[in-house]
Amino acid sequence: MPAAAPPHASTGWRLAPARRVLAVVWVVVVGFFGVLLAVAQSTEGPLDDPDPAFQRPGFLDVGGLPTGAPDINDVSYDGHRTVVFFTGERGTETCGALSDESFGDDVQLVVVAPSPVECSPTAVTVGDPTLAASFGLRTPRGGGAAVGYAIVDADGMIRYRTLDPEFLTLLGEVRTVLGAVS
Amino acid sequence: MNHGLRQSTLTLFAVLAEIGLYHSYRGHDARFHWFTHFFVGATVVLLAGTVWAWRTGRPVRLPLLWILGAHAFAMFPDFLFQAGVAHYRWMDVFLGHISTHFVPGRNLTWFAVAATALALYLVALDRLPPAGINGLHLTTRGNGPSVVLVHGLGASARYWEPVVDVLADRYRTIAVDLLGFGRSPKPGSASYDIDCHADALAPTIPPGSVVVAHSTGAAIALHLAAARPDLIAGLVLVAPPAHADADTARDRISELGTFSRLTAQGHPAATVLCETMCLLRPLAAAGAPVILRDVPARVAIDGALHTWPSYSRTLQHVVIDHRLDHDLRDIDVPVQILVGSDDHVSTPDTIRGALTRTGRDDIDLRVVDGDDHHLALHQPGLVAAAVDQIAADAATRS
Repeated sequence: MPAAAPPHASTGWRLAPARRVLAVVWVVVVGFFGVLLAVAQSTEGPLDDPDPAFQRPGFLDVGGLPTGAPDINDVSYDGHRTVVFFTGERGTETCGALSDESFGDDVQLVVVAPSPVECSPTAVTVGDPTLAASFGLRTPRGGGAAVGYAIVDADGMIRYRTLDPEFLTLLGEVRTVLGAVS
Repeated sequence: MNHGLRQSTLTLFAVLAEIGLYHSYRGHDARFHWFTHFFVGATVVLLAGTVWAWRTGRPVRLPLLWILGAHAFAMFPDFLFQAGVAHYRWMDVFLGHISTHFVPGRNLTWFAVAATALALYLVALDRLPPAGINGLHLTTRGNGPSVVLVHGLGASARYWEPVVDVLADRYRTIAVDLLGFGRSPKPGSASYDIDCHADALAPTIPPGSVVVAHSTGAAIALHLAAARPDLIAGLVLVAPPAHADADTARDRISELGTFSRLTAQGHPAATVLCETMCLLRPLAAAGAPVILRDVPARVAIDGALHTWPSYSRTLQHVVIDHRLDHDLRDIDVPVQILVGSDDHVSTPDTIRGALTRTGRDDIDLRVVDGDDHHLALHQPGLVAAAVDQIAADAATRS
């Protein structure tokens, strides 16, 4: 019986069938994930961070943290954990949502909106739109006001900050990070 | 659940789990994180798999399941986060859970790294020796003289269960899964030509056996018997593909349906369709009994176990390109050929034509009225009687 051809034999520039299948597998897999990654990155919204690595739920003390929190009128950090929400145009909606939430007795909530809004007793409203930059929040990919939040510990140190245009639907994440801060 | 189906089910589970994880991350507005941990996990598995393949000569079993496992390990802090535990720097022990997000180039870098790792793994697979050529899957039953049963294209050893039921009380039956089919190894680098199949089949045949073979298997068995008369004492060939030339073979196969036509013509659509079915193997197996109604459900399900290389190359090299004439001319053992009068694949006329061309009027051709290509399924007693006859002839000769 004649010997079978070597399984990896190539003829000229043409790949052997087995090698061609492997090449097709590589192209298909890489193409699929390349397209998926491109689609995912192209569907980021204008309020998202231009570098998604910084829009991350839960990474404590990275990116130059902890650092001292800037002063806010009528707000004292001493002895309180503080969550500072930067709401953009959704100040009233945020205040409404926060009135139904409980973050702990020692937690004070600060709502930063472009203009003062009526809020629940636990939230302090501040109309200063430049405060986000003072807290080190990054500029959204679409420019404009930052939407997200920062968490300050009882010593007045910022431990966590992120752009998060969806924070109203992800308040559980706020609670988790807050639980790691004393 | 058989081994191949279990592997396919686990692979499908891995794919569905990744889809679920992706949607979960998307729900948290964190697709970026899914990509990072997935690419990192995949890279680790593929690099480890490359080393494994080079050192052991074997591919990684269930690579997608390993990737899912590595991905789950890399993202484990995210599971903890859902349980109320924030992220800390020490969580880098989970494949760099935090630091990997901050490498220059971010996910594009990890994408490139994973693509390179995949290329390395595929190169390692390409360099594997053709595995398991001599490790065909066998199902044995009964005691007595050996009878080896060889199935046709796309089937498995289970095809012969009705015949084995009849033979097992007086023979030791050995039903073989051909290389690339059923539960036998399916090396992607094998040529699957008739010599390749015959080389793989030979070690499964005890010397002096009667071989019963169907369709494509009959061509392989005949080829082996012509080359190794010391091994095979007699042949019962059921519906051997005795086409006069390649064009006739191609035309005959094309009449069997759209997929058969595309495959016989080497159309790219057949490749895409078959590879897609391989990816969705559990679904293909589940649907096979509905589509392949002319064979038992167990055989139809096994029909989803082959690969595109094993199927397409066997069809091309054994059925279309190979002529039986040379082997028929050289054969020097008792042979009986059975064919159904209504067989549209291997017609009685094509077999008569092959016998005429080779001048073999001593080969017993029996045309079974009213039966088709699967007469062995319908009339196992008839096949068993042919085995008895050939075994007796072989004993007389020896």
